[in-house]
Amino acid sequence: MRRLFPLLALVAVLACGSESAGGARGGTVIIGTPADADALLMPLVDGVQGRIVSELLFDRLADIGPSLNTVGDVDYQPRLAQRWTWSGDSLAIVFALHPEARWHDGRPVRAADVVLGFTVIRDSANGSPLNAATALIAGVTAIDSLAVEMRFTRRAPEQFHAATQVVPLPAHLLGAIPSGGLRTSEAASAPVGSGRFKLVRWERGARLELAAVPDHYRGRPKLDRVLFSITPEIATGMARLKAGEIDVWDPLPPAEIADLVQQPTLRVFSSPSFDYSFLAFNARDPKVPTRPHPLFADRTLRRALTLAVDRGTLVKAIFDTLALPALGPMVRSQATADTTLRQIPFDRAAAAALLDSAGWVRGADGVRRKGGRRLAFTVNVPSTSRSRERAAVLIQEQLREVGVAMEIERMDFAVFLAAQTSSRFDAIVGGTRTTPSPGGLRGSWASAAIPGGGTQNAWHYESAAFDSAVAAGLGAMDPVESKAHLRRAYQTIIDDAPAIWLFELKNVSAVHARIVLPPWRPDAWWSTLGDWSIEPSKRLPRDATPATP
Amino acid sequence: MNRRRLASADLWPLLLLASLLLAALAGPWLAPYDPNAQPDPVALASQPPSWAHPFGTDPFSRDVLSRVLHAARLSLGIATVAVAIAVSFGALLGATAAIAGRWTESALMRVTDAALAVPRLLLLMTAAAAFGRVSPWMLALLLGATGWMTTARLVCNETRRLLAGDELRGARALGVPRRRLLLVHLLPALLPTLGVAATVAMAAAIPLEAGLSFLGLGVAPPQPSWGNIILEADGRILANWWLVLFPTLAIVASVLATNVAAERLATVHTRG
Amino acid sequence: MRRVLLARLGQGAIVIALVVTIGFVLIRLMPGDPFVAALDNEGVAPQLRDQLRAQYGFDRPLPEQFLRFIGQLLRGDLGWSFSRSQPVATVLGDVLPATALLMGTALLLGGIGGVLVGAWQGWRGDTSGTRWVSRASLLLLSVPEFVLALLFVLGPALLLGWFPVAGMQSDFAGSGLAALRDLLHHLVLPAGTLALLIGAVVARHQRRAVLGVADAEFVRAARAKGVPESRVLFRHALRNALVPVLTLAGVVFPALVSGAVLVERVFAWPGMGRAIVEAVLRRDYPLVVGAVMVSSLFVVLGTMLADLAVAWADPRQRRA
Repeated sequence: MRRLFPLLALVAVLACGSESAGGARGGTVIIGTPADADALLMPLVDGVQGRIVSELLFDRLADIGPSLNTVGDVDYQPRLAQRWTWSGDSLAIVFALHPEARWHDGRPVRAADVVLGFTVIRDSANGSPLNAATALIAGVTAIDSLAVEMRFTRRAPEQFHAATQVVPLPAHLLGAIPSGGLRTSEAASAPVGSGRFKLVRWERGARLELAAVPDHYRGRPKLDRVLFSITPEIATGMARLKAGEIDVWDPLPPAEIADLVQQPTLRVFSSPSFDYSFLAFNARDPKVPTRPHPLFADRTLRRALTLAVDRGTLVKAIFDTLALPALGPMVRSQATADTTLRQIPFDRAAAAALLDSAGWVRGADGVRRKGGRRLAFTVNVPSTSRSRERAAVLIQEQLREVGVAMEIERMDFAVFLAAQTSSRFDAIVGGTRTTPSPGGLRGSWASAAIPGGGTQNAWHYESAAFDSAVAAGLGAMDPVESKAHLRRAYQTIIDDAPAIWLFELKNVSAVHARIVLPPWRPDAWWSTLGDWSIEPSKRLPRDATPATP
Repeated sequence: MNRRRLASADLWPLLLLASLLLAALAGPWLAPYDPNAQPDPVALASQPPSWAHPFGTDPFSRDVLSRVLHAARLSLGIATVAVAIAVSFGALLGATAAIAGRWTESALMRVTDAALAVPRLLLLMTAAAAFGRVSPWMLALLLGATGWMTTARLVCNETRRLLAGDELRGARALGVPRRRLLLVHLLPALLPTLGVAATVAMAAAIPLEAGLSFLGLGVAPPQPSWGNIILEADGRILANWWLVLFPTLAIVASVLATNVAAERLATVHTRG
Repeated sequence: MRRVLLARLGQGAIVIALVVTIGFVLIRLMPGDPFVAALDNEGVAPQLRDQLRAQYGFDRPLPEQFLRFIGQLLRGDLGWSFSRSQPVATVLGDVLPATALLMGTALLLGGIGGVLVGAWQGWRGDTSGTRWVSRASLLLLSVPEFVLALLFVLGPALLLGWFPVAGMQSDFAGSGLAALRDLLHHLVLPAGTLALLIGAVVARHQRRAVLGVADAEFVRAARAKGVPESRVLFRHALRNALVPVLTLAGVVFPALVSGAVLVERVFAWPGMGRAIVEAVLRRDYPLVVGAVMVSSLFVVLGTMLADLAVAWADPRQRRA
């Protein structure tokens, strides 16, 4: 296993160099994925597969550029909106729609479609996960058929980012659907979109085929079609990848990488990732959320448990060199990340001593007790993530050594997510996909009381010191000042140990060697699919297969 | 047929089963390591068999031999408890049906038919989903609650046959009280049938438990069961063959032994 | 014959009614109601949940719910699958053909193979050859389905590369004959796994049955009349010995469904078994219960058919 990583580093360097994205039209790319899309209409999507497909089917008003800078609008590129203008007080933006933008059925994209996109997000009967991300938006109104105004509740550095989360939807098809009926409507499973690829067929649980839109306002994609081949069994997926039946797999499971690097038909490369994983403790009682958690409301106990976990070994055992121990609620590729923060070290003896002094005494079964209460809890793990599951098993044993009984409950991702969002858990091995911006910090860790913050703080971490430092950091327009505030916020949360910060992944992807790639966008590689190409001389028989009627 | 060969052939499955049960009971003392200890999850993970670890180690550096031995206790223990539940309930129901006769019998037997028609694995999966994480005792109870039908049928038929037979009719004619009739005359006569039913139920319960654990719905980690050790191979059966081979051998050996025992009992029973 | 038919149909109807009741009880046994797992998160408005509860009648008294449940079943409405955002009946309709193909093939191959092997064993009596076959079938019976399936993946698919590892068709299978060949290529291993298991059960019973009739009077009479040995076997002995094998259906069908769940899981066969595993993992109770009921009905119908076949094959029962 160890011998492959210098090699991998080499490949990574190669992949970073941008290749000339020329090449002729034609060809098919087959993307392997372990799960089906949960939904295809962007406001209803929760999972990553649904996000990929819906972002191919639908264009946004504007999209983030290669710099991945989400502050202001300087790095945003026009999509359905040809241009936009800010009002004098910066509390409104008027978007001018591209006059040639068409829905896949040929009807033009109009201002009413943008208004519908916002209505769908705000209609609580739809349960849209985008509701929080668009909290800043006060309203959307059509000025004429090609101009639409978006108003905001207040100014914020990432105001424009929020605006791009509103995705136009075809009002002529979805407008008549009554509130609450969208999820179950026919149109939701056969959406008519505005992106460079259109839906051809969706065989649930098996495959999902997209075809190039020939007369798209942004130009016809070079590929003829993109096929998502759903392979829930990872081992099967890897076998098909090696056999050339699948062209793309991202992210690769760490255990499989050694094998795939040696495959001449595949290009395996790593890129920075914006995922960090953690074991979060629920600070409130899962049954009565108004009461503190009987165990985890106690900061000392949380710190003692963190002391007992050997994160270095854990990361090495699961990922070898493909991940790093997490620093806190951040990833190293964020500009605000700080590697010099004071961490809670691994020190089993100190953990035991801390527990002893807090009155937790070992019982006959080796588990500590205090006043008749066992130091025992359950941790939820999604069955779709082998690495999080393995992390839980490793932590379970490390905690057992200091007299803490942790039970693991494996659950399907949807069930896991439902338990997480409703705070019905003692502890979870969670993961967050952040963005290059530190703004996600507020959503995941700030008190729910702050306006627009704490929407995903299901573990109920509450610290006034942290909240104010985050608010100051995100509000400051000067980068140095911002960084100093955020450093204070990071140190506070690390010291409070609302979670054990586990690992920060490197993302490893495999793509068939015949495919010519534009630069890889680490946060959303699929966004460039329209520019992927396959040299005619290197095409496989299936690249020539005509699209399914 | 050669009698002596038959006798020795009768013996080996029972011996095998007995030694497996013994291993299950003595597992914790036979196991060279703590089955949950992770001595070095970096350097010692997923090692092929060696002198120190005859069955290799799993991805957490745990000793597979120790886990297989501990799993024997859990897997066979669950199966045994399940069989005890299934056979006692099935026997009670079957005998009641046969003794009551008429519409009670046909009602009970239709219920049995309906329960038999529901595929057992599906019922177990549904129950596992409803309860979330299942404890070993719960698993045994579930396996027992879904496994009584075969016994009920066997016992119902046999009881009907016995009730019509000379011995019980004679006893009844002599005025033996009803309870005594059932306990002293019927029950001992039913014992061979119960033996057959128990072995048949056992041979069904062991792979079911393994299958459920394989689907991730059975015994929760870190407790080892034969099914979830196989699951640790993570589908990479070629690279991690020892994680598949040894628990599989344990499952096949115990089911094979029970199957052979069941067949021998049935043959002896029908012959006698 | 007609009386047998009517009696069987009557019994079948009772069993089906009981299975449906079991289905209803299962839904009620689930924690909370079917909407908890799917809709219980902050993003979903309480009104939507109430609306769905009312739509599916979960706010009514139990007896009324039961009647509604029966009414919906009669209309072919099995409820709404939350994990797939489709009606349960549609989901099952989509996956049923794949499972029917898999199980039908396995039943046919396993049944015929088992009968032939068992007949040969019974007819030849106790020779070293038949004894080895006996041991092999007993060993097969003792290997859990999923282990056998894993072995098939390992050998013929991964090591030798003769067959596809998983799935039912290639992404671009073509059409017509090419598609059929592609399908059969994918079918070999999963159907083979199940067929072997069925074959082992059938062969063991068939052997015993043929042993039972091998020196029955009508066989000896046929032999005495100079009927060729193969004809005696096929025309006389086998037809009578088929009866006990057909009665096995009640055991084989449920086992086949359970086996298909595990085999479909290993081979990623897009059938009902895989849908059930996914539904269970996602706590999609309406889909789970719908699938359990449909597969139970399949078992009941299959068993009834087998009973009728017994009535046809066995003259004694025909008269009864």
